[in-house]
Amino acid sequence: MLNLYAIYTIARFEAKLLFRSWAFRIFSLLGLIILVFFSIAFALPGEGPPHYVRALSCSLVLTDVKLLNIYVGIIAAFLATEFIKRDRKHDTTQVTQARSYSNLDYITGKVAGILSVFAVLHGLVLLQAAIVDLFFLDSLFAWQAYVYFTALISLPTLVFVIGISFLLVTLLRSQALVFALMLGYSLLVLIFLGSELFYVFDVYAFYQPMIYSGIIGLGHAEGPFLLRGFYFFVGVALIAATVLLTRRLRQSTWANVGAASVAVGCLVAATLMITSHLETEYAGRDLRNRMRASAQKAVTSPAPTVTSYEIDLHHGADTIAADVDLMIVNSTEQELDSLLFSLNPSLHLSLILSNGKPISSRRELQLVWLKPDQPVAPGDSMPVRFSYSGQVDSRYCYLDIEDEQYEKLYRLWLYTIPKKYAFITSDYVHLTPEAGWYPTPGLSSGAAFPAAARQNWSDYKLSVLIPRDMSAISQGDVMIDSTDLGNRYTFRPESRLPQISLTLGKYEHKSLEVDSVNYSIHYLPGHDFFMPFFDELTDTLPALIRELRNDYEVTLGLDYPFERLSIVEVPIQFYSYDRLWTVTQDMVQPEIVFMPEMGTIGAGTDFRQMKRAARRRQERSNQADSPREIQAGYFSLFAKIDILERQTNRWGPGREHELDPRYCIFPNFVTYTSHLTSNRWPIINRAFEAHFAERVAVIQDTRSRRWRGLTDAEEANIALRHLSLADILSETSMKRATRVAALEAKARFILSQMELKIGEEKFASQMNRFLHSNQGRDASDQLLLNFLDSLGDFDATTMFDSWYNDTLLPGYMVEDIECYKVLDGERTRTQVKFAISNPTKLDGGIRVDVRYRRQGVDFRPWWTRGQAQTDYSRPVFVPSMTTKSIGFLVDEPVSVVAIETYASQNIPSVIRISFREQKLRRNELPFEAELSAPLDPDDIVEAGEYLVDNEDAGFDVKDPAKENWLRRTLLTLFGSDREEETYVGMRFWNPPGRWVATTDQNFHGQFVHSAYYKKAGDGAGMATWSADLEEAGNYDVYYYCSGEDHRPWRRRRRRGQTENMGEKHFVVHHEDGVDRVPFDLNGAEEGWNYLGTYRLSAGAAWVELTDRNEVGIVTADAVKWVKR
Amino acid sequence: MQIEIQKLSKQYSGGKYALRDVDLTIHSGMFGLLGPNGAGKTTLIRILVTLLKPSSGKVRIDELDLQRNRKQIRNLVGYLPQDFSTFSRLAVWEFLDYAGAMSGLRRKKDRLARVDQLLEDVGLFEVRDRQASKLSGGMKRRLGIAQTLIGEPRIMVVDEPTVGLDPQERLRFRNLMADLSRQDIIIVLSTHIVGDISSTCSHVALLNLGRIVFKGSPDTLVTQAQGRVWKVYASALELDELKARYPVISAVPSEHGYELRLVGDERPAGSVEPAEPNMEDAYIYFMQSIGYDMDLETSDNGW
Repeated sequence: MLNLYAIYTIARFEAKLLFRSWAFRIFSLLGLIILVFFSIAFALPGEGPPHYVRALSCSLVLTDVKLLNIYVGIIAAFLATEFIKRDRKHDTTQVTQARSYSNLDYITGKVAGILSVFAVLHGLVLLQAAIVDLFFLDSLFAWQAYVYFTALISLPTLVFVIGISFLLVTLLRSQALVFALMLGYSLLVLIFLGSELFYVFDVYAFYQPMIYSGIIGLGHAEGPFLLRGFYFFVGVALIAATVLLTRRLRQSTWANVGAASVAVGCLVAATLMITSHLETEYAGRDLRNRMRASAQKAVTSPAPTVTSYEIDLHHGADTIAADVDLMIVNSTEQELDSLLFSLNPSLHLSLILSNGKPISSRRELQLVWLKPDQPVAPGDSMPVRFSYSGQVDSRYCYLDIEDEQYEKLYRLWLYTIPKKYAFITSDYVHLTPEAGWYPTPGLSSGAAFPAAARQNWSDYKLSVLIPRDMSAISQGDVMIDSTDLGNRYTFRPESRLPQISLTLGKYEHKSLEVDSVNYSIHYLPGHDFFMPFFDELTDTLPALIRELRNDYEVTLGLDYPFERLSIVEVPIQFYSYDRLWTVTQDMVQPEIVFMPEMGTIGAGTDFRQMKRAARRRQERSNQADSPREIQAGYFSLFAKIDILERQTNRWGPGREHELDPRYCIFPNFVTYTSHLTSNRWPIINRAFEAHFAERVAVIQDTRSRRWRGLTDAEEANIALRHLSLADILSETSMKRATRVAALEAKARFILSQMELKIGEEKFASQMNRFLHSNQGRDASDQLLLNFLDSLGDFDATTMFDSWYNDTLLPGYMVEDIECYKVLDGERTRTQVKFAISNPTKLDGGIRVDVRYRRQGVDFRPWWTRGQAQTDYSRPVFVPSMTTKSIGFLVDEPVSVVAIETYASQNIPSVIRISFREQKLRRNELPFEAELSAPLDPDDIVEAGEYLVDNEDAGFDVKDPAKENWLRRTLLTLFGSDREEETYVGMRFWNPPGRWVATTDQNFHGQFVHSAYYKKAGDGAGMATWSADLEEAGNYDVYYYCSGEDHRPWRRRRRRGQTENMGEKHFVVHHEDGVDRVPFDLNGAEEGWNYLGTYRLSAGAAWVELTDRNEVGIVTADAVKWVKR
Repeated sequence: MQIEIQKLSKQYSGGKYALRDVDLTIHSGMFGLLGPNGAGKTTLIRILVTLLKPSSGKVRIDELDLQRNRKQIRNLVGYLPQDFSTFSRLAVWEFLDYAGAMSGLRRKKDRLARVDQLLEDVGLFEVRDRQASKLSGGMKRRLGIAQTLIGEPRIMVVDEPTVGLDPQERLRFRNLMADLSRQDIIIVLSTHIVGDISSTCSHVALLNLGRIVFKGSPDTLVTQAQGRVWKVYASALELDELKARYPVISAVPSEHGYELRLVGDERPAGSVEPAEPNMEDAYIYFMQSIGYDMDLETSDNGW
């Protein structure tokens, strides 16, 4: 049927023609140059890209293949259509068309020709990537990634693009039109549609999750196979359809029948693949919903307590089998006639025994109800053995996470990483409690949410038999017995734990014992990229670890409760989420921190950069730290920013995509030590954690506010103005980051209120006592209430109720923050001073965090420098209707003072002031006190003064009528028309054409420091302040000029020249008409500026500001009238 | 070997007939297909080389049906279209190599030898490495012939091969065709230039408005014009008048005015002597006699 020789000939000459076409040569050369440039950038020894790019085992080839794919896709559309144009244009092809071959031969030959040409280009690209990969990158070379990405990314795209271009050009007969269509489609997919509908439109595989892990390779990757197969087969079907539609008279019926069969066959295959893909995704959603529903039905069912687990686990090819012996205790006050357990739904239960006898049971998805013959009386215990086997279904994990978040891309730069929550493959297993790999009493926390789930504290014994070349990692003391079948690992944690994890793999490890804690790091062979960076530390490491640990324990006020601490690398695909009810993530288990392979997305794992930065800074400052000091510097930094500090508003890798995973060991001190459960206030344990977390809090980086508009915490504060904590828990439609931030703010608020009333030190030591006395158990809220009531004269229950159900928020006005040096006796110390008022009806509290000016080398990567561990911190109680003058002394020069307002009406919620060098004021006396004075409501607004801020009702804006119609339509069409945000960032490089509200500490406002701003216009846009004056008279009119008005926006300041800041144009309405008042910003003061004195009658008075200005932007903040 | 065309019609989508009820039998040797522009020659040829489907009628090549046996027929046919040009970026020899491979010459050695042989035959060996698209018009046409011949076709179909060639190239081309016509193959030569046909074709068919208006030997066609071709000596004044009345084939300025050659059923008035008709005269006479408007002043100057 096929004339192979004709196909070969056509392909050979098509390829020859393509190779010789200048279009192709220029395109290819340009592409190659760009990609070689990338490779060089990857390979550069000093500079280099971020660590995650160098460390991912496939990063360079994936980058190259992804970029080349888009590039080739677009070129292929052009070149594929080129030959049809050529066919039509010249009689040359008629010469060939009159020869004997079928249309199938012809099109097949053409496709083969085009493919072979691109194969050569692809080969060149892979070759240069492989060279760099092999010799210059940290990660191990994995040839499989080259094959997979070529087959899964490049080939389907190319075949699809050729197919659709052929067909379109055959039908439309216009190369230009087809090329424009293809280009349009590409842009649509790359900008808007890529991740929609489970990546169905993602022809370039640009968004589709796909990565090659150095540990598990592609992992289970049916998704990519199905989708990429879909594109491949659609492409082949379209090519076959082109055969049928070609205008050349057919020569062989069989060839046409063949082409038709291929077209139909491929379409069927493609349809099956895409439906299977979608079905899997929808079935996943459905299964999760069913699991949620069955969990919610069982949420009130009482659950037993398991006091001990003995787990005997076998690892098969890609399954596990386990016999688990539990000791069940009825710790409720009622008889239990059925015992509820949760277990991953795809683990098949083969047998459940009690005292050697089968026990009847019922299973509904993840839930298992045991029906003992006799109800279990309160306090009674009963042994149960579960025997089960199978894979784990990761859809069981994170039932509390909404679909949107669950399906959201886990994206690092160009890479979309498939999110995985558990692994069972033939040579790798990683199971955390979230996977439900062993039966747990009651519901999992995620399934129960928003109700509270009890924490089960048990004695564990885990035994697992594995081949000799693998090792097992879990909690507790380990015994390794060699048997004929392999090594048997037996783990016995020394204390009761709420959960355990299990990781099996071909790990190597290094360990070190310091002060009876065993510190270890487990990594795959060849993944010890970090070793050369710490070669000088052999002797000093114990001291360094001791110092870090002691510092942290002292700051936190708690001791590390375990005998081990391990860092274990896990596949990059392993993902975990922020939970609303805890600071804990599955990345951190008792005694273990899981970090993505090669420390990929750690903030402090880029040792190469840190080493280089340290050297450079040394050279600049002419210091001479020894290599050992430098290494110790970045070792400490890694420990601090990745393991010790709990970062919130993170920057660095993945921040723009709101990555959740965190590796902070804090939960080991609190969450894995004790737990509080409350049905009244399900979130209470979060408040408990927050109290301790607060002790090791870092100063938040709020610099991103400038372009983001609002931080998550501020969005949370806006939400909290009308939503109670209870509302937030059930409000699933809310933006997740805002929900997390709102809960965090509320959690931090409640205990800090009590702390402020009792006193910081006393409260801290009492809370430590409470924690210790409840170690290894699940404490009830009543226990906490009793404890709190015993501490002071407040009613904890009422406070918790109000905290949980009310929407009241305090607000603060901060004035006169100063920082200067004073003489304190013999010493020169730094005085920090400010005044704060709380004019709301709710008592409030703030925390003042101070960071000292650093001397010497700063190892921090730039993205972590803004947020740093606090050097001095103190809470301040600010009662309702009170003003406090606060002063304290610190021993070092200060670089940042940040006032954290918690859940409050304040925006910005963190008032962060940076200080330069502080001068000594010899005449000032040290001031170390908190002076309270009642706040008189009349003091806030003086008589005869009318102040209108942009937040007030008297303020209004009018936009110029013009609007970009096309832009708006496109944005609306593709759903990118983001909801009107309350406040936006200051976009000075491209200011908006209409008035928008933005916030900054420099703006005027009582709690919300905001202003409106827009691009300078021709005067058509207008802002208006109006007030209702009680009496007629002469009034002074003022405008509040903020720092933002003073910022040089557009023009660069030339040497010796002052920047022209332009003029504002006010229109003041008065009794005799209007007065146009130009206001020269160049001479303006920050604060209130006098515009003039006018005779005004009683009633409405108003001032307008036009958007006319010579320079970039116009801001509109506040105006006041003061009666003379 | 013979081509038998029966009741062949081609109607385009607009309803216009390009061919209508064409009956024709073509035997071995060179067959001339003559007719003015738009007569339907190219349509007929494109049907013969299986690039176009007829609306009705039958074409058989020996026992092969044009519709059903395209594969075999394509193996028999070599085709040189009217506006032959080659792919840019291929050398002369590469283009022939491609054509050879496409006509089934699988052994590379044999094929390349054949390529060189043909290049010698058509006088292009010296420019074998030049880009084919950079050849002169005549050279291109010769390359076209070479690619037609490379598969050793039994039927050669050549459409308007001499248009735009200079006289020397045209002569060269005609000689080449004459050599070929001595082989046992069918050569269908479509042209509107009578000179291409007169010397070499054993049979001709005249096509006008899609219909065959004459078929037979060139001699029969010439016979029909016997006694209807005149040599007239006329002044400049008379020239216009004569031109208005008769198809004037040539007008050569002479000492006393013009020496004209024209066709007409009657002997024109004035200084006239009968002339011996040739193919061109016969073609003009014939076309005029069937009512075709021979506006010779604007016709192609090439013949």
